[in-house]
Amino acid sequence: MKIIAAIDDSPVAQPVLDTAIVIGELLGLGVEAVHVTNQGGQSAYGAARAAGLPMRKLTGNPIDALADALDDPDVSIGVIGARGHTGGPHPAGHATLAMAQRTGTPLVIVPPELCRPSSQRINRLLVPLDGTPNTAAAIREVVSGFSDAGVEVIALHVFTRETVPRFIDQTQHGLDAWAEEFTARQELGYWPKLVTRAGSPGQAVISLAIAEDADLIVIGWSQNLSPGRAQVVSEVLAQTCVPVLLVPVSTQHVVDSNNLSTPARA
Amino acid sequence: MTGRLVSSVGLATPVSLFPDRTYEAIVFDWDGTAVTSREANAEPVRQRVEALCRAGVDVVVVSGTHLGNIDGQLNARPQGPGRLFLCLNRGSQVALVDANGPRFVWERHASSDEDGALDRAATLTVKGLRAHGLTSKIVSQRLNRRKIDIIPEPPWENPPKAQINELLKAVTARLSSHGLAGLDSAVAVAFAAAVEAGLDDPRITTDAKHLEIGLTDKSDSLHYVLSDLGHRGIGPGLVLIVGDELGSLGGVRGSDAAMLIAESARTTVISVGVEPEGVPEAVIHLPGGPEIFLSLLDNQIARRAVRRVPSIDLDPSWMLAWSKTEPKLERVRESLFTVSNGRIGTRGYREEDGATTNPMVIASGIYENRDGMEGYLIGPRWGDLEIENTEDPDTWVLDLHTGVLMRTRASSLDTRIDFRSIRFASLTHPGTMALRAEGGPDELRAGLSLITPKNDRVTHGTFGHVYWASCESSQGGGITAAANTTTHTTTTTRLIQRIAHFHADPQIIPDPEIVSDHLTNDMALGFDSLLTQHRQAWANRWADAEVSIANDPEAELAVRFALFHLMSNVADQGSVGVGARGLSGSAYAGHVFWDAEVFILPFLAATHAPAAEAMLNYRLDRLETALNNAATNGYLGARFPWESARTGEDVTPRSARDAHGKEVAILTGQAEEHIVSDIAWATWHTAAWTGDYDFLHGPGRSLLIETARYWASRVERDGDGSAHLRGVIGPDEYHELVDDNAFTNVMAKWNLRQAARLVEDIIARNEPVEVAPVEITSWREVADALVDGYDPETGIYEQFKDFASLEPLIINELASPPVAADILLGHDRVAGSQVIKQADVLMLHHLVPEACEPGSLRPNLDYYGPRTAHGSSLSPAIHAGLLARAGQANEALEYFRLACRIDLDDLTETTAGGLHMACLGGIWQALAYGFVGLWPDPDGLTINPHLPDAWQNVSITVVFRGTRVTIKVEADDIAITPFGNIEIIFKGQTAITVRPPGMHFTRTAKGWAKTTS
Repeated sequence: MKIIAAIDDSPVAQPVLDTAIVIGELLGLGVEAVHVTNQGGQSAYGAARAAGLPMRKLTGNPIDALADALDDPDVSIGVIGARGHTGGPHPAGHATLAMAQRTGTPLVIVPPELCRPSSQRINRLLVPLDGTPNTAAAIREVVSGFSDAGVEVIALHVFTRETVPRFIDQTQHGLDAWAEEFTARQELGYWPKLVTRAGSPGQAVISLAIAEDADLIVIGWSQNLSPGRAQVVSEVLAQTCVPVLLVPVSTQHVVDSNNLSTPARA
Repeated sequence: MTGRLVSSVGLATPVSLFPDRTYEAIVFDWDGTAVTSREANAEPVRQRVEALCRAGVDVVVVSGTHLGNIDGQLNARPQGPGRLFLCLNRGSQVALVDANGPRFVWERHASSDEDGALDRAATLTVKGLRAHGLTSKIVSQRLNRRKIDIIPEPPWENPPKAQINELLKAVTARLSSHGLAGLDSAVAVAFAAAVEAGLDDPRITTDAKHLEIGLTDKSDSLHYVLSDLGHRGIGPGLVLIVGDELGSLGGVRGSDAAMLIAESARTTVISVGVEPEGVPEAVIHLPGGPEIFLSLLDNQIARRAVRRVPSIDLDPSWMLAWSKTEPKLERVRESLFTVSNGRIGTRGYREEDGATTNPMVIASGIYENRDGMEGYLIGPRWGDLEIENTEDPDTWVLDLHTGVLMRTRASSLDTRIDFRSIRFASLTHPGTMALRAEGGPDELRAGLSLITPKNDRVTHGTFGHVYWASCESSQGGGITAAANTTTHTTTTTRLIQRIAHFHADPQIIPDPEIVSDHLTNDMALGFDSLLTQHRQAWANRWADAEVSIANDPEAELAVRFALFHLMSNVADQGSVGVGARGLSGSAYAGHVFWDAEVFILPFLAATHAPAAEAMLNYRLDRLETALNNAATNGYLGARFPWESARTGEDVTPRSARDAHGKEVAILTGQAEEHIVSDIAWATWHTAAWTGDYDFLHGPGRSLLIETARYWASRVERDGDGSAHLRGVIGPDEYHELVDDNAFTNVMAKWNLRQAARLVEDIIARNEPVEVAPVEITSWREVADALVDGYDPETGIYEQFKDFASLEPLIINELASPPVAADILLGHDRVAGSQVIKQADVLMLHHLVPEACEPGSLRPNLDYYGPRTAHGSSLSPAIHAGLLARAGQANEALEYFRLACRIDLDDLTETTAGGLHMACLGGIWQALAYGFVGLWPDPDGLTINPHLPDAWQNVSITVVFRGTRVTIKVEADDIAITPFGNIEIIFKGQTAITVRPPGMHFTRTAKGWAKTTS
């Protein structure tokens, strides 16, 4: 099993490679760089070589080629840049979003402006949970892999008008009781620290990622970016400076750290 | 009349043909069922009857004949603990037989008029048959009946039961030859004769040879037996009825069919007779006569000998059933199915390990310091077994009537036998728990008798076959358990029995040797006896607390569920602090809030006074701490804590993270002072129900006097003489540190005045009291000076000073209650608005209606109702009760239903952490104080019912000043059935004495008027 780091000739290639390597080391997965090119690719190749990674060149339509590579059964996680240029927060680019919607493989989207060095070890994960079984089921395996590797997992639940509890008898006990049961019902197989917020889920994710010094945000999502859907994902991708791992809720991808291929980076 | 024909078998009957149930009572007909004839050797029956009684089974012989015949033939002299009843003379007599022989315990006495009518009926019957040309003969004049031989011919002088077919043919032929279609025609003649003779309710039976006209029949025997068993917690589902004439005979109902009364609907009924015309649908037909009957008894004896898992009565109106398979709901089920006896609570966890379970055993009043907070000490688990996991779904049933939890798992594989277990927390032996389980030997193993939490304060060991374990609290004290497990394994089945005994002590760790000695006593008593006593004790508790709601089974079951947990979570001896989640879970750390006194206690005060007084003892035992607490804060009297645990010191957390992740100060510990007068109220209210003025004038008076002293010193006086309580929190905790909260102030006024009245009562009785007259005067003066925020123009109490100037938010316009509005809107927004968490001002109308301005309930309901978010589980039931009192019963029912479902449907999403005990108490109060309109007034028990349209009637039993009384309310009719004289007050009317057996009242234009006695 391996991680694919999709890079281009832009400066974003380096943080993408760094992020892939950091995750690969944590989960014991090999990393392979891929680059879609019909011409050029020297910068990408140079970056991969500098990182000690093999690079596979893909040809054809970039989205099709990358999607095919990601959907290879040997691929556990893909890593890709949000867009090709830096300079302030930007929404994820068209190609990245198209890839994210298409692939069934968990995909890390690396923002153009990271708020931490891209080569820094991942110590803390922020995992928004909306309380639905699908979301919890989608992220269970991948987050479990990080948790097993010693990464602290912070779960976030944001109360909205639709999900606010009906009864909290005494704040000092009731919220703890609610949080304990909410966490248990996610059946994650591990026991994350649960943080609650009320209001806009997207903004809560963005601000808590900074406040808690999260190194990676893991979001289960429906891969549907039509109007009114995936608002949290859209908002977070547009504004966060933390890499975001999007896990399709329909995927059954398993990150099995006990069944590892040799890391490609020797 | 088709029935189920199982097989015609003899003594070697495979047991698989018998019902797979263990019965607690076996009722059987004598002649034809137990013996072939009156002359038969009944020794085999005697042996089995005595063996069954030794095993704890109640045995009932039902016969048409007299004592001499049955006792002479059976000659059983059982030593108990099971009882032997002889129901004789076709429903007219009941004798109880023990080692000393039989003695009559009930008899139907015919009046001379009735005897005369029976004689006339017999004569008229013979005459009526003769009109058809048929000769018949009156052959005996037995107790309450007359017997007529309709085939007085030598060949049929004494036909054996086995020749019933031949007899029936001969009789039918004889009747037909005289123009009578059959036996039913002869019965019709007898019935007409009986009516003509003046019998109101003649019972006509026939065994083909005879017609019998009586005042009673076997249905009366069954009424007596099932009623007696019911009072012992043995429901019909635990009763086996065996007869030989359950089908019809010549078109006439068989004589044993009279045993199939309405109340016997869940009994197992077996016919061992020939039954020429088949048996009714619900009857199992095992046509083998006395031989198969003896096999049936042997089967029951054998089941007990190998300790098969007992059965429970599956009465839908008393059973909480669960067959959901979602793992995430498993912890909810554990809370709902907790079995407790007020001392030890065991969550309804499955016996085997599971990732989604939260198994737990908790002891009342035993805490430890954990994570900076005082919380329940978790004790050793006693209910664990090793069970092979299968995909087969479980079914759980909690029998609310007897406090027994049963789990079954029907195997989908033919090669695997069903798993079954039951467990209970003995109500008669408070430290004792018991479990039995059975399953396939490959799937079920006993495992460890006790499982202890993993920490370094656990010790364990053995004394012979007894395993013990102690969990020590960091505060000292702890929980010690001893358990014994026995296993019986056959090639097909493993049977496991475990009895455990717990001691818990907040001061010292209970000595394992002493606990083991208690366990040894339990073991000597035995599982079956423990269960029998436990069932009896529960039946007794329910007799004082029963509730039924006609045509609303869901609400009725929800109420029974609530009452079951209120009863099982509160012990009735010593000093009992009841945590917010009782003994059903560790949420809220087992802390004791006002929930205990205001929500839980009233039900117990009204049904089981010792439990209510044990709860008050908890506060009395911590009075010294409360006095010190007041003194520390510069006040007199007693200041009880908002949250209390072992010592009575305030254990309210000082801060917490709110839903927005913000660290917020928790101010309830310092400012939610109404707990002081809540405790005083509970003391008074208990005495109002129990009439136990020895307690109120004795130890209980401190809870009124010292709380009054607190308020007298706590108030602040303004220059105009007015008194104020500033910086408090009322029940609506969305608004903190407010001035002159109406609830706090009016309750303080009430507290001061009631204390003054109590002291004057004590003085009037020439008893010493530690209060000077000048202090009484000052209490009244302070009470008069305390502002209450009442506006006579609007009829509204202002919840606190300047409440009216807050943002006038109506919660319905923002969200649909119930909703935790502080999370939805944020703390600051809510604090600045008129949205309130729960009943606040309205709690005054609920607790001290006599202290509220007359006519103020409805305007305050109208004002505060739309502002209430019901963000507390305590709120909906209170609103239900108040709406009912205000005459808005249909609206009240909506809130009542909401309250009923809070735990059952996990509406809080926190039931997994334990049951919301205050909500459960509120449910009873809504029903009793709201819909039925009960209130314990000084001059009697007030009744002022308001039923919703959906309810046909409500029946509720309470104990008012030592007298049990059942009140059945319909829209325009009230039936009062007291067990002693009782004073009843209909609102606005003078008290009336109601004596047993009771009275009926009808609603009239002038109030309630007596109709019949």
